[in-house]
Amino acid sequence: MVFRRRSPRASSEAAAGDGNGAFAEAALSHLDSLYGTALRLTRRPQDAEDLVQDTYLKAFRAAHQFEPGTNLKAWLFAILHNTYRNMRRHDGRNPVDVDNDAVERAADDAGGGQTPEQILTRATLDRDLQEALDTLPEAFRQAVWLRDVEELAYADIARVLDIPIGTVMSRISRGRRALYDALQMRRAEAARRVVSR
Amino acid sequence: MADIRTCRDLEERLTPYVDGEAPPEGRRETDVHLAKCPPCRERMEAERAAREVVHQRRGALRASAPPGLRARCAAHRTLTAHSSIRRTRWVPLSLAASLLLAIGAVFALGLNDRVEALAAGLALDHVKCFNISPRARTAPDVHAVAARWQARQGGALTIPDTAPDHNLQLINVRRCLSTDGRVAHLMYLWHGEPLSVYVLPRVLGRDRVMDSMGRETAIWSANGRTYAVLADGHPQDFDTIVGYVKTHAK
Repeated sequence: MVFRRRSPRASSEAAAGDGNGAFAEAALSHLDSLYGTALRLTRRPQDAEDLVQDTYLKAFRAAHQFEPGTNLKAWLFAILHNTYRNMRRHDGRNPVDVDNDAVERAADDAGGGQTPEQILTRATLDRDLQEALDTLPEAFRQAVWLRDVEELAYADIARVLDIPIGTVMSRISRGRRALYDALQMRRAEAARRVVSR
Repeated sequence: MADIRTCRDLEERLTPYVDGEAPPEGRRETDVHLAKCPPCRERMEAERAAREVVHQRRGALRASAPPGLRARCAAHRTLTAHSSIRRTRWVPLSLAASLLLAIGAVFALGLNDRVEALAAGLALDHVKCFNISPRARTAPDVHAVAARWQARQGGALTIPDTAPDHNLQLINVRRCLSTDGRVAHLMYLWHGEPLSVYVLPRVLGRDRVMDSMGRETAIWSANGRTYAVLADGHPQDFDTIVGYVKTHAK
């Protein structure tokens, strides 16, 4: 996602004009989604709020670049993730730190031979799920979150994360399996604690 | 899409399969492979189980924005509109008139906190200095300037030098009189346009990238100082130049 230097007149009128009201309303209707996503990214409420505010600031400035009829939520998510990547870069941290091999190995090692389906669903507390999600490598967590919580299409996720659609699918797939393993591990630990008590 | 000959070929089809978005033909081929390959079936089931959990609990995983955030975000709309209008009108006005306008705007806009207030002050100084300061005849020698600063102001100052790679040219270093006089104002031309770096001898709280009166502004603290970079408008490679300053201002 690129923010261009605006041509001074046309764009400022588009952004400042009265016709902007409907756009702003529509954009603000996604506030909870953006905040929830920002919270999963930054994990700190104050940082999440800053990130969301920056996102809206940029969105309102770039309102004239939005193509009506396209997915506004995905467009806002793209700004959010782009802002987050820049923020991380300023922090001197690596924006996306994925060790695919390590995750793949972890996914291969675990397993355990249990029947997956509903047992997992029934046994998992929301807090467990939240924490397990947080243990995933960031790139995988983002992909899974955008797909399964925010229900974006693969193509939209590709735009938001600025990666090819094939990579989107493989990150979702690996992310979900890593999550499955993390949840299984938590269940095993919980069971062990009960036994040793 | 190629036939599924190996388990690797299945990899890219697993997610659409689990999501029920695979085309019928791909779905059949996947079914055939899964029927004869227990490890792949296990992978598919693990992915499906995780997908089900997250999707079912998505309501609980989502968060509600805290009260007040909506209003603060909505306020950016006004702020954006104001800064656009101001920028187009500033050009033909005299400097004094624009400064008066700008100071009025600072109060009219309402500022959330002291970082915004500082940024607004720096934006004013940026406009003022680029209008009134004489350009140095020769390129300033960063070491000499830093030594002079230390002798007079008592604090060490590291000045990011002219960087042709970034099209960044140092043109002057002065004391910023708009604040308390202890702030160093490093003046540059970046792609031929004004760019300011401010160094404050104290820490100011959270790092921010924001719009300050139509100027892209990055503020951060490091080593007991606060740094600010301001550039006119909202240039797309702003992050790059901020990165350069961050690395070289230490």
